[in-house]
Amino acid sequence: MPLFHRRTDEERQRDEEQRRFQDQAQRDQQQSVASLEAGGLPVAATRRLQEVSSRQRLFTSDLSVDEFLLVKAAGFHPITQVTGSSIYHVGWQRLPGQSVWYRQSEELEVVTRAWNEVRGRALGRLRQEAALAGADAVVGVRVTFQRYDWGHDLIEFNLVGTAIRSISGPHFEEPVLSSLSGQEFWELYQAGYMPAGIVGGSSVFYMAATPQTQWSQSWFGSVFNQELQDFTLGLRVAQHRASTRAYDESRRLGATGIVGMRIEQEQAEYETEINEGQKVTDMIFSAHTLGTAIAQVADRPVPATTPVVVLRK
Amino acid sequence: MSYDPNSLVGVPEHGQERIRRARQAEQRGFFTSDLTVNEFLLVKQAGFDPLGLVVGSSIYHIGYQQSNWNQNQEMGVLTQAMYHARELAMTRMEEEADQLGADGVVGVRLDVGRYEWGENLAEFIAIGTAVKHHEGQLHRAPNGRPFTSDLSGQDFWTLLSSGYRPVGMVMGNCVYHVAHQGLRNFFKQIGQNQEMPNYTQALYDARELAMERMEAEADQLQAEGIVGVQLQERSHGWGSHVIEFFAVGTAIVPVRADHEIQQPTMVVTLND
Repeated sequence: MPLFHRRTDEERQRDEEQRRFQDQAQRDQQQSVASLEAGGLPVAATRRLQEVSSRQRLFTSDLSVDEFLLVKAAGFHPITQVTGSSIYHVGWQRLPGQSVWYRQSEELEVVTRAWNEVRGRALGRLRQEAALAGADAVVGVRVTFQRYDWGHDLIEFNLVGTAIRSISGPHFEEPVLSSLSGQEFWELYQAGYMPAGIVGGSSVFYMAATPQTQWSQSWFGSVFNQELQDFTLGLRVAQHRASTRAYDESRRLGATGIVGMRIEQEQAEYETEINEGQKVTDMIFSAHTLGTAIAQVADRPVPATTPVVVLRK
Repeated sequence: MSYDPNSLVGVPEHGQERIRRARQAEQRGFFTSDLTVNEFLLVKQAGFDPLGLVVGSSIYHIGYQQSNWNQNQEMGVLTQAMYHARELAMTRMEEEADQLGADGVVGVRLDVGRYEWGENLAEFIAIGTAVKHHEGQLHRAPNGRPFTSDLSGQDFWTLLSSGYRPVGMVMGNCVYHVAHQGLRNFFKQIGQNQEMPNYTQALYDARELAMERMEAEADQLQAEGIVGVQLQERSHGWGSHVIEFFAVGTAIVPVRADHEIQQPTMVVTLND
């Protein structure tokens, strides 16, 4: 290239076009972030789904062939895959103060709220996407939550499912979400049930060790077999609160029950000093529940089942 | 890459030898396949004969792209590389199938492998079983290539008996750089419970782009839909901030108007 290269019109046009493209991308990104902050969807998702609902032909689904055909047999047709996700920063949590005289156990409010909120936001986006696609329901929702290397205080909650539209089945004003497989959806529909929504709850509970447990942690006490009643109780409380939240949500949806409820739990030891040099190990219990609430739409008997022996697993 | 049914470019000598032998063996009615017994019988019942195992692979050098430390952006060079390499592998597999006179390939597995001996190298490999219809009904894709599908033999049978057929595997990908958090933002969120709209937007966008590209491919094949979509999220050794989203599924077209299936019955297996 000569030192004084005069750009041709074509080159100038190309640069201009590229700049325009980048500007557009930048604008889209800003708009997406603003929309996400308000709990909405990014621009790319809105655009794709509007296109999906305007076009009749092509559908996408992560349903297997069997599931696809069973969903069709129940009178529904797949429209598109829908996703909902949220990445959330967990704030600073004050742990209950401890002393020799007074040991406090309580639900860790900030962390608990973070978990409940991240799930709510992801589910909200999934529902919005399904509504944009003109769906009556979402089936086969798979849930993943993970942490990335680039943030220890971050939770990602991620949902992927297939939006379906009713052809000869019942219609819904707002799309109902479910983590049912195509097979399960069909089975329930045969028996007169429809999903009412995905429900869940989380609870993170701090349990302070009682004197009995402290004694068992000491060198002498570690010899004996014994139940640690405080920790048993702590785990139970976390599970109970997580389930109750899911149950309350299902009541609000007017459901008759919850199927396929999963309870996941984690515990972490937390060492604290209550007196000079006296260390105690307390526990933090987390419980997360997630299930599909169902509602009866027709009074039909459960179809007869046949027992079979499969010759090969 | 343009498609040439008679081409064996990129297939090594031993591969060509294998194909020649498979073609001879085919006349005797001999085949190799990675189908299980159940799959084999179902594929036969669906009207197809397996011909042989077909493979396509490509070892690809993935270029380098500088990312902006604090910007969410697609890494075009990497996206292109990952897509092109997969396409090469798929095309070579299709060409092998064509050499065997196949109508299509079922049970395709598409994998990416990395080796210790090459930092920027990745091996892309596609393996499947080539099949041909008994009565010579044409089952190709509209672009003349043999059909491909990652469906199992069972799924293939069910799909055909319900009045659909696969036309091709469709895929889309997107390599995306997730911005690092700036110092100002870091201070703003210290101790706060809040959503991270920047990160959410990055992963959301990348996923949408991959899905959109897959849908565009299916549109080109004039498909009615895509079943069995898998959405993979991997960071192929680019560091934690660069992530590839890869969407792949089987595009299907109807062969008749009604898709009624026999009313299924519920069964309880007495196996444990």
